Amino acid sequence: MAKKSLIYREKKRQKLEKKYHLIRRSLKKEISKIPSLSEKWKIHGKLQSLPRNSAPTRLHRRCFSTGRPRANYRDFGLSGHILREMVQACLLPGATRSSW
Amino acid sequence: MGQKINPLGFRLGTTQSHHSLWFAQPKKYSEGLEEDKKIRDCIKNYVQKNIRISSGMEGIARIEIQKRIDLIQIIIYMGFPKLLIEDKPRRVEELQMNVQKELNCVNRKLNIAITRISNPYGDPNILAEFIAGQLKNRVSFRKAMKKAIELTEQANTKGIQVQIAGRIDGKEIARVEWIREGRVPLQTIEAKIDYCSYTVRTIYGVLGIKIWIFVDEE
Repeated sequence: MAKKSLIYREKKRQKLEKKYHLIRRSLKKEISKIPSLSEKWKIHGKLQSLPRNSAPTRLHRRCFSTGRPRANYRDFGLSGHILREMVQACLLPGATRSSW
Repeated sequence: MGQKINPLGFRLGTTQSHHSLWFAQPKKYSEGLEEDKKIRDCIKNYVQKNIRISSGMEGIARIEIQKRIDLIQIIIYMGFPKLLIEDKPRRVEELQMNVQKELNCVNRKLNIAITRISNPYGDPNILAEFIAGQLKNRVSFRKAMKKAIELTEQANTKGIQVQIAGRIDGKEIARVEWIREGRVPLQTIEAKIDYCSYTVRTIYGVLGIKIWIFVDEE
């Protein structure tokens, strides 16, 4: 079980990323289009004035059940331990054990 | 030393069916899982709060969730639904509103049905809760186990095994005690076995209860 503060930090990052996603993308497109270097610098300054936590590279995947930051499966959004528990408890549709 | 495999996971796809029934794009699968977890947690919390106080146990055997494009069907299998429904008439509507609020789903309809199990004590979850209640009240563990097995025999099962692990009866050193009655063929895949693992917090520490029930399938 991860600390609640860390989980909420991650949630804040997700919110900010969603909020500034379009702005960030349009600014980047503008930078790539404009040929003039000084103009590029100006737009880059705008880009840098956005909050840092809105950068998508700051996001980190966490298990939605326990908040564990490591050993997460992208397909399920769960860490390996919880994933296994849930499979054994018949909670994942379509998941079965192979045995032969 | 042999290790036991989880009998439910072992039999998935053959005699054991999944508790969630839906399809999703691979990208959206984890969203569906998250939703399922929220639904189950919300229902359990609600039942815990609103069940009649005298019994002290939830009595939920399992919660099945089926999803379609515009509908979520939830079936709650309870051993004693009267304890929940009797006091106030519109419990189910209230529960439905709670779950709806929790999910924030505007597009999809939500449908909750409560089904009564014909043999409550033939279900390991309910039995485990019963034993847990006994242990909390400091009934002797052997009496509790035997009482549970007695109840299960009345429910017409082919076999049952009950195991308690931990500081039993408050002893200094923890140990494992188990009793078996009838047949419990754990290695046979086509034998339908219901299983549950449950933890009890007592003043001496944590006890684990495991119950295997060989179901009479016809």
